[in-house]
Amino acid sequence: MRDETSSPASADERRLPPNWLRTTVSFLIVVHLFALLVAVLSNWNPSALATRLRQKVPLVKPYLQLLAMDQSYAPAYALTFAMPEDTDMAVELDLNLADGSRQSFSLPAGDVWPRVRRLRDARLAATAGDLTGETFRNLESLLPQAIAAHFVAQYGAKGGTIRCMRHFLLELENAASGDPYDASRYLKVYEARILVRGGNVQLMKMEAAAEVAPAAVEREKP
Amino acid sequence: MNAKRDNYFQTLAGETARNWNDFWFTPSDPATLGALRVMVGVLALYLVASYTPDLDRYFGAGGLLPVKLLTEFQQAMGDDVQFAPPQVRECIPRKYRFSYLDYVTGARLKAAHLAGLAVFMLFTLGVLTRLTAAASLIVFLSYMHRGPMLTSGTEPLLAMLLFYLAIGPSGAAFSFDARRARKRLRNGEERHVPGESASPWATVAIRLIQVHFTLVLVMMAVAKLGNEAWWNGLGVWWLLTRSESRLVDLTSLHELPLLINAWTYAVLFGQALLPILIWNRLTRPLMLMVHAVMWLLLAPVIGNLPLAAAMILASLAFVSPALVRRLLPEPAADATN
Repeated sequence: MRDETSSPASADERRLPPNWLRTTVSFLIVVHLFALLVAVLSNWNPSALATRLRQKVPLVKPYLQLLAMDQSYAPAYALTFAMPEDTDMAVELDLNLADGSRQSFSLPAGDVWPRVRRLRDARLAATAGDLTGETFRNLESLLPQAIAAHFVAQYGAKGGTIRCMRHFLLELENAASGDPYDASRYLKVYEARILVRGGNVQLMKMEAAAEVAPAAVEREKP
Repeated sequence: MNAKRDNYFQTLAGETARNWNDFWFTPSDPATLGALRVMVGVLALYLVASYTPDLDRYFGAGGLLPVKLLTEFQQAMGDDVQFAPPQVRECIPRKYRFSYLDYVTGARLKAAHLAGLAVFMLFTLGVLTRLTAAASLIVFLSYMHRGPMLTSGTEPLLAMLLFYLAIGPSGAAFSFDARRARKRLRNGEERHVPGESASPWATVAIRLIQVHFTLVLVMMAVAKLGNEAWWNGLGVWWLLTRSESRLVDLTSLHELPLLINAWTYAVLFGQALLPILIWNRLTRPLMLMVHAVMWLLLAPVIGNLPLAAAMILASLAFVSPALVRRLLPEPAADATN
């Protein structure tokens, strides 16, 4: 196990910590590595055992979550699974301003410097767009509502619409002839009317055929 | 037979304990840890500083991410995030979170932000490193917990590095702390520079980074190996064709599909071999180079330069302190001897 990264000193120069301290630190290392293993196993296609370990072993969950180590490290670093969610997403707003004009905004916006700022907006838009659909009925309006409220307050808008657009990618076999920006490559995954009442912003989700009741924030899980 | 069995288990226990001690506690030069501190500090400083123009837009009163939103998300979703798409699963606010940014808005938010930047500067320079390392971790995690939906793969990796840099004597090399200690040594106020000579805690910290990063590499490889997009040689194409996120347009490579297949397999098998071969002394330099080149080539394609930088930085934990000393000689580093 020994290798050059540790630059071991010769045996007589070794200043190992006292036995009790090594034992304590070893115990902490084992506990820490166990927590990391639980995080990895329980965040990526978890087994019943991994889920139970995460839920039942005291302090594991708070420890991992507070240190932002409650991760499987798989999706973020796999870069793509070629799933619908591995496409680009944008949140678009059309706002009715107080002077009667109409103005459009997009998240992420065009050129922003440094680029990491655009990346953050893109992540926000991706989260808003990916958490839509039947499975996320009680969640899907939360982020769009916050985004709409921000823009309404900033521009003093009286209403408008907000939508999440997924930009499907061009397949390799169609790359020669296909247009990556063709309208057929965009899918509206969420659309809602922005209602401003007494300073409060509400969203009225628009379905394909009809409008439905306001997207209330429910408390139960999907 | 029993005696033989007892003997075997005694030998096994003894060898395991000795190897464990060698692996985790053999004192080592904190040079690698010190160099990592400077580089991680610069990257973390850049990431946090890049929030400056958007501070109010995200976290201010009426911002895009009010604290109420995070609470509502957590209440609606609970801790069971498995049903969320993998791409956003790890960006959902968790139950246990702490961010001092939750409690400030307006001028106080700006003041807190500036204080956070000052902490990162001091940490990078190695001033009061024990204190500023812990403070840097708190600052960085506060931004992560305040806006989890804004994070990509970069932030968890940097949080991991900051955590281990706070544990080990990361200020014992390439720092103002070490410089000040050397000065005191020259003036005869101290007999040795604290922490600059080989330290078991430098080994513990660097080993933790190495082991944790290996876990990241394993998961990165496992996720790719089990996915059709990487297995059928088109993984890189699905990255190239994301027109909104890429930095450069390389879709003209569609005329060379075999090159795309080869690039995909190079990434796939390079990343699959990395967590194993990086532990071998002979293959390590080669694997570190492969890893760096791989991420330098992927960076413009995925459009996430900080992620590529963080990946390369984390792998530098495998560089030997002796090589770090050769590449970055510190003035009067031998004053400790």
